[in-house]
Amino acid sequence: MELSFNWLSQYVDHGATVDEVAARLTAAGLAVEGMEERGGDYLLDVDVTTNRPDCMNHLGLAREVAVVFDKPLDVPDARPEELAKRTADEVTLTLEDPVGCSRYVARLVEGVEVGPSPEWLVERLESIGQRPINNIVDITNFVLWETGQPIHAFDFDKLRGRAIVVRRAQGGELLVTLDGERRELGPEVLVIADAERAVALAGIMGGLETEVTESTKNVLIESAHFDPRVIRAGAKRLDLHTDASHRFERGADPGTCLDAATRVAALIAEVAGGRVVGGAVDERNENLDWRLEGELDLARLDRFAGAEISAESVERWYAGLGFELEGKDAGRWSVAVPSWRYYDFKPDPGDAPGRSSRPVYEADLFEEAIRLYGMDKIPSGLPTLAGPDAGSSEGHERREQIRRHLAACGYTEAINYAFQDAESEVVYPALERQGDPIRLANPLSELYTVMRRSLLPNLVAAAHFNLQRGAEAIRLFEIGHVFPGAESPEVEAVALIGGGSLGMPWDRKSELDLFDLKGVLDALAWHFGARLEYRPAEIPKLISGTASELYLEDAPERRLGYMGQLEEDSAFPLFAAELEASFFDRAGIPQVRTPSRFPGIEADLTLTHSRDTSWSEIASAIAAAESPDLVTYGLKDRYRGKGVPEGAVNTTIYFVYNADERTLTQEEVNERHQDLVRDLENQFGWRG
Amino acid sequence: VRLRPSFFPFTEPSAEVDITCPFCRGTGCQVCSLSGWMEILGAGMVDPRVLEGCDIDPQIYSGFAFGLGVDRVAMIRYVIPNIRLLFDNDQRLLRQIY
Repeated sequence: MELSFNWLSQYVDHGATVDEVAARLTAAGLAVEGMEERGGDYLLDVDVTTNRPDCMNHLGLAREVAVVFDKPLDVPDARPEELAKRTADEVTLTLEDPVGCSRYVARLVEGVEVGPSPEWLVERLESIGQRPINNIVDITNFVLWETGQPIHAFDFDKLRGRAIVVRRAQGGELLVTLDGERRELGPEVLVIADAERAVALAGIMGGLETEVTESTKNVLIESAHFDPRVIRAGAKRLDLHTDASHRFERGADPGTCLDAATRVAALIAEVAGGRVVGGAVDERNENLDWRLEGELDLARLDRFAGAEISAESVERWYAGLGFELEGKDAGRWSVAVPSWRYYDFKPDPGDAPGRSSRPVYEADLFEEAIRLYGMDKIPSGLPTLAGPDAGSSEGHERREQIRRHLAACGYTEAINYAFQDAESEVVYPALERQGDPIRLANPLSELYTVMRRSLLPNLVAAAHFNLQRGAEAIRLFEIGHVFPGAESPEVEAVALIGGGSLGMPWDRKSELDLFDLKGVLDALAWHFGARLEYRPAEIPKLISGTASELYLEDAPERRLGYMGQLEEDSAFPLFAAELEASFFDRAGIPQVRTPSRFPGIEADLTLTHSRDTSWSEIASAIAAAESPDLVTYGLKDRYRGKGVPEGAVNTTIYFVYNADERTLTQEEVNERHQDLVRDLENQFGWRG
Repeated sequence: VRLRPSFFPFTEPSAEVDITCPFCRGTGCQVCSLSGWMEILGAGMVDPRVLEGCDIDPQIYSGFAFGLGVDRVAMIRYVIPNIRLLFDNDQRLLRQIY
């Protein structure tokens, strides 16, 4: 909010420089974020937080300055001369919506001369970037920026029936507003109407037909209090935002309506001629109670603040801020909150305004003393805490272990948004899809319209990003949540993408392939005491023949994830996998087998078998045979070509036999090995 | 480091913590809008309404809360000028940090 230093200084003789005022306001909670020198004045850019609508005007901010510098606040006291005739006889007022409009004050000034504003008024408005229009409108604008109370001025003679009705608009009701726009209204919109039609958008903007022009002679001044929720709904419906609606939405001062109206009337009489009609019409919703009270206990304040604050300071500060204090005992007061701080202190934000059923929270009261005392003055200390730590949050340990392991394998963690665009989302495989993806009601852009169901699309995008920048290898992983559908809980997943070549020709350049990715996953599983099973499958977007679904060896019914080579237009092949991270929450510790102290014997077998037989089938058969003292075996080589029949392959397998308690003899090993070989030849041997 | 009052709906009182701008060491520069200070975290005493909402009696218990942007701190620590760089997933940047 941009306010003028000179204007603000009109209400308090602080005797300080603009820098000192800015520094003290900032320390008190109204951060002055910038100041611009403008011809002898300074425009202060104050970050008025949403709980302080009372400071969105010069008098309110001046009150803060007055308290901080311990100087009196000079509030203009308007006492214009008034005619004998009464406003109440000249205009009738009906509040049809006493919730939407809980108070309405009307005053009249007759016989005005509408014209340009005097120099002082123009200067004030221009100092904050407001454009002067005519003396009447400028005065209403001035009082808004002085007191925070939005004021509207009507050409009284244009109000039919000399009546004001505050009501909701009817469906389809039309109004041409001050900006010339013809607006169609509905019941969410609160309007000011005369006896026949709507003449203004209450709390938002006036109507064109009843606006003050050069020919206006009699002015009706409106100074009212509107419910923030109603103004917000109406403003949103009409897509309007004005200085008036801004203040009503955040909570104007319900107590200032009459004073502000009188101030406007006095200024109009002074500046535009005219005579102020006696008294005001002041209608209010009698069912509402705007009084907020609480208890302030100095001992509790000091304990809460961690500081020693004097009773004398408390009394001075709260009085300066406009609170009513009534001493009960030493160090204890009853406190009443000033009306301009109503919305800040309202105990139940969800309650309708004017209906607070309980005292204000003491913490709300404490804040005033603490901020004026000075937060930096409060002594620092560390809390003494007893008891054990709360422990890590859910999944933290497993995430850390997965991360470290994958990083150790040479992969780098990527972090992507949890959103996706709906089109690319369906293309890639996912762990699970249940119905439609979760749609965002208010996406930031077309790229982020649904919650992701797979980590792949964003990782692929990251891979392309790196490829476009000349990356020779991609090794990325991500751990994050995916959202299968509106009815399903979120699932934590880990995904990897890899490809390209590592190293330079002089230090053994190698091309990453599917088996490198598989190796990372197998090692990760082993680290958590598990083994993975890879079942070939057809998976969209993964090249046929490379894709497999992942299962845990000891939980073969539950699909864990998938892996394969991506069907992707890229400089080199890309391989990807995605798995559910929760499976890594196993208690499993990898089992270590102590090596024997005795030497072992190695034997090989070259088996010719059908290409359709997978290595995992052969390995399973070897395991099933449970040959005694067979400690390890594995794939040594595979060969197709000269000497191998069409449709077959030669697989060389190594076997290591080693007993824990003695040296095995060659004869023993030969015998066991021959048994095993015969077994395998029977099961898998090529028959031509 | 300085602590100054601010506002969050869930704390009462609320505060902001600023640090002297690491780029100009408090003299004022473009990064800190010439103020010499950089906001680093929001904090405050837990608002009693929040405690009540969790069935905790604010007359007996109080709490404090604070939160800071991990991305922001990373940007300051590693002198990364733009937050987008932390989400591009450019391996040339990622591989420098561990």
